[in-house]
Amino acid sequence: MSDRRSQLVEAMTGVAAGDRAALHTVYDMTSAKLFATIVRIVRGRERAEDLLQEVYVKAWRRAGRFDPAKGSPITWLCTIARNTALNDLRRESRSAELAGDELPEVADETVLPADDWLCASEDSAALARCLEELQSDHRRSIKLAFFDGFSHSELANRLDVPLGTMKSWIRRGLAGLKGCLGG
Amino acid sequence: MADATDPAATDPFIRAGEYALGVLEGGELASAQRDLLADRSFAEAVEWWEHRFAAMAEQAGEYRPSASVWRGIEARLDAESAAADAATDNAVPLAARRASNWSLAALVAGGAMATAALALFLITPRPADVVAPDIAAAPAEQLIAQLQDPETERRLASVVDVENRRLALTIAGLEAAPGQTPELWVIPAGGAPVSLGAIPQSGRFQRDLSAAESALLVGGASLAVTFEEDSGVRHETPTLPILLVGELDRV
Repeated sequence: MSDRRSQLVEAMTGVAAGDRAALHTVYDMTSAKLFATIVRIVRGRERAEDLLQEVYVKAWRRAGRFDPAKGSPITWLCTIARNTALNDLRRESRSAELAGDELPEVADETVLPADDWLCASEDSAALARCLEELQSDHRRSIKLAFFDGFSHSELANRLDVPLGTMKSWIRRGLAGLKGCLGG
Repeated sequence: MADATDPAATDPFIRAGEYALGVLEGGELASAQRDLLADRSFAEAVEWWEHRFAAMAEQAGEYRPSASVWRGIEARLDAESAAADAATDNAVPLAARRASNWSLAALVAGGAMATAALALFLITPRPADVVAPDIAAAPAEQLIAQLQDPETERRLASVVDVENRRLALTIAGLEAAPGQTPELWVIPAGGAPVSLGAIPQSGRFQRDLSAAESALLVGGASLAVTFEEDSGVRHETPTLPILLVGELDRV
């Protein structure tokens, strides 16, 4: 385990014990990543910052439920961040702030320096390999849904295919991932 | 429709993946939200997918929030621990403290709810001394749900008095972590879960039901309990895991 990853696991243990300084460490190590996840989905800085606050308050309260045996802290935190952003999006549609100024799609090959990865690299390598095995339309739809929070009909619009086709692409892509990841 | 030739269209595990990915909308979303509470295997499948997908979350890159975000987090946590300290300083027995936390939560639940409760109280005529009913009088319609988890000894017995719009609960073992509270949900048959608000961690609890709540509490609907943040508001979507779930039966 890299130094940064073990440092993060240690800090999460502190958070679970109610240590505020440990929460600050977790925040410093992860907030830019979680903020990127949230901003891509809600597309408004102020709104994303409010949600980011909510995510760390939730993490503070739920830290006792974090189980290091089940996964890395960054996976756990990203799931909270993404679900918080998606729930907010379902209440109120996407902010217009960044709508005209389209964010680039997340590239297939994101090269992060190895030290910057907080997620277990085996987990992300397995997913990357399995995504690579999918048909490109299926892979692209799944990644757009994941990173930008697009629904079936938003994806169909964006990629200009009928809704039924989009649903089928996603399902086939998920079925491929399930087989490949051993679900 | 592509669905007809698509074997994955009927696989609940794939549906869980669609939910975790966030692509479902409208009726499909509502039905998945319902299954998330009512069906443990579906909830586990959603968690499996969330966990797998999160492994790529870091590819979203990094984007620095303003410094005010951390200050905001600290301020919110300070406010919470001040409230918790105030509660602890009063050296009251645990049971009483829970009761007062509950009352506090009910108060914080907001002017609207308090006002509605007060209005209901004011306009509801006090029952005259009840004359013993004739033997032939039809019993009031009731719905009951018995929820329990033998592993954790968490239990909740609920009785809905349909005619008088009353909800009565007997609760055991729903001890929540600090800052959390058990929250009761109704899952209409085929619909998305709707919060019925925070409930005490143990003991007996009764309250009136609004017309909207009564409309949801019908035979075939299910009740469920989750732990949620004790923020004094009803949450829009439940947080996993589901502690208890069970169907409402007509008596």
